[in-house]
Amino acid sequence: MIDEDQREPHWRQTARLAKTTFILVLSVILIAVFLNHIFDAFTWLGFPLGYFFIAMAAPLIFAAIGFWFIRRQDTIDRQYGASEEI
Amino acid sequence: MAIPTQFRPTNPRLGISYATFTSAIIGFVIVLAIFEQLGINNQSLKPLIIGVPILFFVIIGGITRTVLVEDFYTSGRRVPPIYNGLALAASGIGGIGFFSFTGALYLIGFDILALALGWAAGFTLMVFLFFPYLRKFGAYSLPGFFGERFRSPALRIMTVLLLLVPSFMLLTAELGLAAKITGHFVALEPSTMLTLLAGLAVAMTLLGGIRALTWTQCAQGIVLFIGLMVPLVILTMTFSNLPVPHISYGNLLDQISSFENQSGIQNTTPMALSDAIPKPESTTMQKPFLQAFGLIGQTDFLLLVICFMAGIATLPSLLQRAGTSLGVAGARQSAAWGTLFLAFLLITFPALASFAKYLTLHDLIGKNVGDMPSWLNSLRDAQIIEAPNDNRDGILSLQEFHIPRDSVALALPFLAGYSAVVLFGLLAIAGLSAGFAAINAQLVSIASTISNDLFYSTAFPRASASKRLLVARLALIATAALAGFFVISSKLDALRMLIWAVSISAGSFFPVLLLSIWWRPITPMGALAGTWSGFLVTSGYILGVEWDYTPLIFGIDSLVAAIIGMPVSFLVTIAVSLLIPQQDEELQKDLDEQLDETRVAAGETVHDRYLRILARRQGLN
Repeated sequence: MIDEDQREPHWRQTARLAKTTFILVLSVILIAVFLNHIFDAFTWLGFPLGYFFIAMAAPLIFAAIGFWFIRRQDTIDRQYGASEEI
Repeated sequence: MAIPTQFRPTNPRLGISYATFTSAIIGFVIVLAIFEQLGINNQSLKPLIIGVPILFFVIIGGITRTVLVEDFYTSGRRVPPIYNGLALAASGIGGIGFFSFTGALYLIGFDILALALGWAAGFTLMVFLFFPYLRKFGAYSLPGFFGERFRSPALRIMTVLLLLVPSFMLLTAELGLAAKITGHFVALEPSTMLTLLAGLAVAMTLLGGIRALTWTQCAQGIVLFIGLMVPLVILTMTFSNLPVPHISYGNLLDQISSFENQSGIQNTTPMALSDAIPKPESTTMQKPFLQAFGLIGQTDFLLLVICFMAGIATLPSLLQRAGTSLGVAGARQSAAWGTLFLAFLLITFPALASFAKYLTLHDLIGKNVGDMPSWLNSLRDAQIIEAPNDNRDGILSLQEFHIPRDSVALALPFLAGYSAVVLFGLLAIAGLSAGFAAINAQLVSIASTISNDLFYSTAFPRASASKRLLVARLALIATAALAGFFVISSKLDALRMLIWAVSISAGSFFPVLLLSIWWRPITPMGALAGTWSGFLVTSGYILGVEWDYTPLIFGIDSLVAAIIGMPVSFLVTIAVSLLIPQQDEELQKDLDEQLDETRVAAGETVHDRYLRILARRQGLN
């Protein structure tokens, strides 16, 4: 069980992590949309990179961001005694 | 008082059960392939290949029947993350993602990838913004969350109305699409077909509620992956030595571009979003596959991504899956696994579309009509493609080759020269499984909210468990019947319905759900005003634009109406919360305490805690 005085710092860390994650997701979207024409100048395995980033990399990056977030959040929860493990 | 179930173990034989199921499906496909080689009539195999997996789903739905409230509404809160993620991805992609999105990729290429980006980003938002907190809160549905988070029965009832709109739109869209696809296998009247499909969806979920939903969706997810990957990998082997379609199709892109040039597909200039998104009717390729922002301009593309992201992240039928996971950490993992499965599907569809595109341009366009393979006629007869029988110049040109958007995925094996009905059937059952996963998710979400939030929590709080489940089951049947009736009487475009529904969901729920977890000063009044203003502005804008009452504001299309609805909802929620202060200080203290509990993973759910406090108070009185 979490100590009462740990709640506030725990939430501060959690909120900061969520903000970081949100910014990561948004920046992937912005990169995919606005840097598309720059990437497209390069080709890899036959894919123009701008297309490759949206069609292949971005969805996988999103999944990776999800798993990265879990690891960070679990660390925070354990640190402040807020995880479910007894 | 129900026995607390969080310590009930997960079925240890789950892995074995699904391994058995997977082997059974693979075995079944192999047997069918052998039968086909032996020359058994295609017409008798066709209903089998989609009928048997669906029968499996119905059986799983029957096995997972339950009379426990916890099981019916939250699947016992003990679904392991990977299974939960698989179920989430299957219902998230739906038949529309499988057929319509792939078809749109074939027709307009790059531009429709806005949906893929929004889809995957929306799932990621679920991981860190909503899933863990909804799980910790422990309400059975989204209206339940709002009702208990703000201790406001009025908000609860009003949110039920909001939930019904996008859920019902998605239900009808998916049902209509499933009927269209099934029509290629079983010749039935439209009304009989819809009755049959709605009946099957009811049969899968009626007895077990979310418990049945979870385990049928897992099975559907497995069939989806097998049915998608087996034909695609077989096909990939004909192009390249590397049986990984996602990478192998890169080498075809160059050739696709030059074929497109030869066939006279010109670069296009952006147009209004509503016109740019392909319609379901037969049409031909509209722009070069790789051309970026050719039909959907860069701004519209970004708006579509944001709108789709926010809407998918708050779709009630997906959020209900938070409650089924094994603990708060498990909820996060479920959503992350869901994102991974979804991402895999999303990167597979472009491969499928570009294979179909390559084969069309390489083997059909510009060839002599007389030399056309015989299967072209059968595709024509099955109304999967439209190409003229009598042709003046004898050459099949691109303008003469028409294909309905939702049939592209089905046409692929034929385009590749495999006339095997098994491959065709596999792709169809994969898409149908996803479709059923989505249909069932909407059905259960509507039924459980009606029974739990309207009937039990508001009208008859003393109703027994069996009465609650009875009401849920009746609501399920009624919803399915209504949806079937609605689909018969109207002609829907599944893809547009999906985007509108997601838009409405974004406008109604995203701002308030975000604020109610992440912004302490929000008041019940603010939440009520925020959800409804968001909903009214979003859906009002859609209807206004579609019926020509309102002009476009800043050129924002009706499909991305939430771009207007979300800021309005944010502003209204914040303004009302700050301007009309909470009078009841004791209530505010309770709400704050509850919010603090929601934000910490450890401990019992807020829902259970509330019930315990209520029970104690009643005892004292």
